[in-house]
Amino acid sequence: MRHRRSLILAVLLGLLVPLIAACGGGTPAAAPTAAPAAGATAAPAPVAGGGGTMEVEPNAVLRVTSWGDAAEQKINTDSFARFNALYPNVKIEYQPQASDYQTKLKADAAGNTLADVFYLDSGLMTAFGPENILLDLTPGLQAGGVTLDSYAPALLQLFQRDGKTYGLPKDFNPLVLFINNEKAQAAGVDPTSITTWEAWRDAATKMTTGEGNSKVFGMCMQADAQRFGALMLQQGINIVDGKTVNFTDPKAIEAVNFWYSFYKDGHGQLPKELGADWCGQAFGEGKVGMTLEGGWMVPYLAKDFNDVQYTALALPTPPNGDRSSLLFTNAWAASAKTAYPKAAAALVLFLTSPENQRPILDVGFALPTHNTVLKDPAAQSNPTTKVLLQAAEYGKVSDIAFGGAAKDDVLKALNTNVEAAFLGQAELSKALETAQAEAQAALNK
Amino acid sequence: MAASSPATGSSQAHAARIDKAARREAIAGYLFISPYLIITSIFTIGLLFYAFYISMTDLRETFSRTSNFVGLQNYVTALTDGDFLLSLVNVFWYAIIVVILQTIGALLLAIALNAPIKGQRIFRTLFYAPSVASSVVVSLIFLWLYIRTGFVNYFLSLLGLPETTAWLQQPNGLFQIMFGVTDPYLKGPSVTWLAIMAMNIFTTIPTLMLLFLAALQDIPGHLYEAAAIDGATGVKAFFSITLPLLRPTVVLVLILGTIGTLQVFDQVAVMTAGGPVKTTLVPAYLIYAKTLGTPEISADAGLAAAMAFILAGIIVLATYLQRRFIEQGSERT
Repeated sequence: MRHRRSLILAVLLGLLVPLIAACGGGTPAAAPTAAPAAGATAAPAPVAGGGGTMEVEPNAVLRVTSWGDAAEQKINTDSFARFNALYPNVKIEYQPQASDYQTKLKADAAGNTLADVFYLDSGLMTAFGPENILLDLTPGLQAGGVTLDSYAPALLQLFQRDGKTYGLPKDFNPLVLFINNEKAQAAGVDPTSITTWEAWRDAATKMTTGEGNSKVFGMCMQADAQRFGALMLQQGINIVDGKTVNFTDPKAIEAVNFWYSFYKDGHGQLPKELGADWCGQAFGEGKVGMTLEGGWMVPYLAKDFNDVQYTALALPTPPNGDRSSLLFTNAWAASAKTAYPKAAAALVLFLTSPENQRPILDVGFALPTHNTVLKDPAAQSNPTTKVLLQAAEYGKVSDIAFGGAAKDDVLKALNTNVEAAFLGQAELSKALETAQAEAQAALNK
Repeated sequence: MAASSPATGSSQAHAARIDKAARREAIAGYLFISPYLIITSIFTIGLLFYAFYISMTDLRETFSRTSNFVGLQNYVTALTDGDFLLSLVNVFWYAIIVVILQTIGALLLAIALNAPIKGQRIFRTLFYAPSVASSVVVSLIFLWLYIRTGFVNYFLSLLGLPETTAWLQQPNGLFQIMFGVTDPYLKGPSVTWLAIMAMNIFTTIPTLMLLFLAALQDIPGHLYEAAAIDGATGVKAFFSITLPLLRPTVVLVLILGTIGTLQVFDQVAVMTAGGPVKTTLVPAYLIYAKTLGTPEISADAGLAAAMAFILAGIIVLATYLQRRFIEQGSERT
């Protein structure tokens, strides 16, 4: 009797499971809010403002994804709103992916569920480029009457392959030094005086205060080649010179040593160890006095740490060194398998157009890739943007500085071995030798 | 089927009826297990064959359209791959230390909670609580406990140890600290790895404790009474009665523990991603990272599939050896 009752219970429970699943996950897709008149959408929408519009598929629905925190997501949703003002009949479903973006996109590509329009970095470009996964934007560019020379060529070339253009650079950012004014002044340091490595080291020393758990560090550290690599460039050397890796150049070792000295001397700390996800957060929370970041700091601080007063400066220069910086860029791209290739291309084109880049520049998030906006004198009005723009002139594109197609392997070699040195598992010069050998092997492949 | 037997018509009809009933019962049985059977054959067995095929190809990215058959090349590559060997060394330490300590800990806790003390039920519930939480949640909590400004350091400072340690940034191995061995394969488990082991022992003990507790309650009380008459109490009774009778449970706990620890993934993925300096890199995480590619580890799906089969082989072997070793031991007593 007892057995039979438990059997019935088990069967009932078994029946319940799919029912619950259906209730939980099976929310029907939201009906389009504004029922568009079919047919009318096929004709080009009336031109609004300065942006031209292209012919797109009627009732297109585009799934769009990107990485980014809340501040960056807002920049994107604002951009989509501007797009929808021109293309009211294209519905955008934005599904941001805050972490593990590359992993997610690769899994989506393998499962044929890739979003229609998405962020593309050079790493994903290397992976997706040869696999017929990305939509060639050339027809879209022709339809939209956009010529490629509108975009900064050094950035655009990262997303081109075999004469096809798979992504349009959406923006770019150089590394600059962010200094917390209050902490600098409390330590008796004039923020604007940090222009040399010596002054930098001095400032970090002075800005390190407190003991134990409440200790504030002068500099936020990352065992990341995309930070200390900029210091190597400042020494007047190329990190990767064609097919030659230069990690063991005495000047390169000196640069990494200088970066490491913040940590070794107890004036720099990794953000993880300060309970922060990244240096921007540690900086905003006042756990560090200085950090090496890009324009993405501006909207982030404005949103989450509005009361932090800061100064952005070009990277302090070494004795006998050059001004330099690393530039980072990403593109908007579309899936080759999208059901709405015209609408997807129109969205990519709009997102990277002057009409969209200008308002983003006003937020301070990133620098425009479009020449007309880049050369606009109005861009110079904000002091932080001005510093970023200047750094853009002498900085080098990170993806190229680290060896182009072999970039990921070069970065891996450098990061893994330098981290080991930072954590006391190897001599720094030995670690750089190992990194050199590994990176060289990757380049020779 | 009844053709050879000299059967009358009625008994034939009877046999056919039984046959029919049996068949109907069999069909009902198959129907009941069919949902599980279908799902398993597609998503487990089917994928197993597919993964085995992938392990024989040079597929790099999971979304690649082209791949070539390369035979056992990936298996050879895996067994000479520095990262994979390092991950095997790491998981070896993990399995040894965690399985031994969690088994002893669970047994002791079960015995303590089996004693007739006041508030027994409350203690049982309290101690079981950590096992209810998902391992990801527990990992996130410990992530915060282990940071430089975290509770572990605060607690140590109360004990008069003012030096703050970043527990998840300590690649120094046990033998490195004790004897100065710096070779990455021989330096022993890193401090960070030991910290994660401590966390895992803490969260797994209660689950295993429950198994021991159930087994302890199955031991008849009169055995102890008889033993007491013979003059065996306390420690002697434990080793002569309790432990031998718990042997099947010990085997179960050891095997479950070994399988679980060799497959450790969540804790590493959430807390360290294999770092610092690959001292917490384990096969399961390496396989995941190699399948899809991460900023630290480049994608090679074929190689990852080969690694997965090697890991499965190691787990089967470890389970087999344990069973053999312990069951032989039980025959001798």
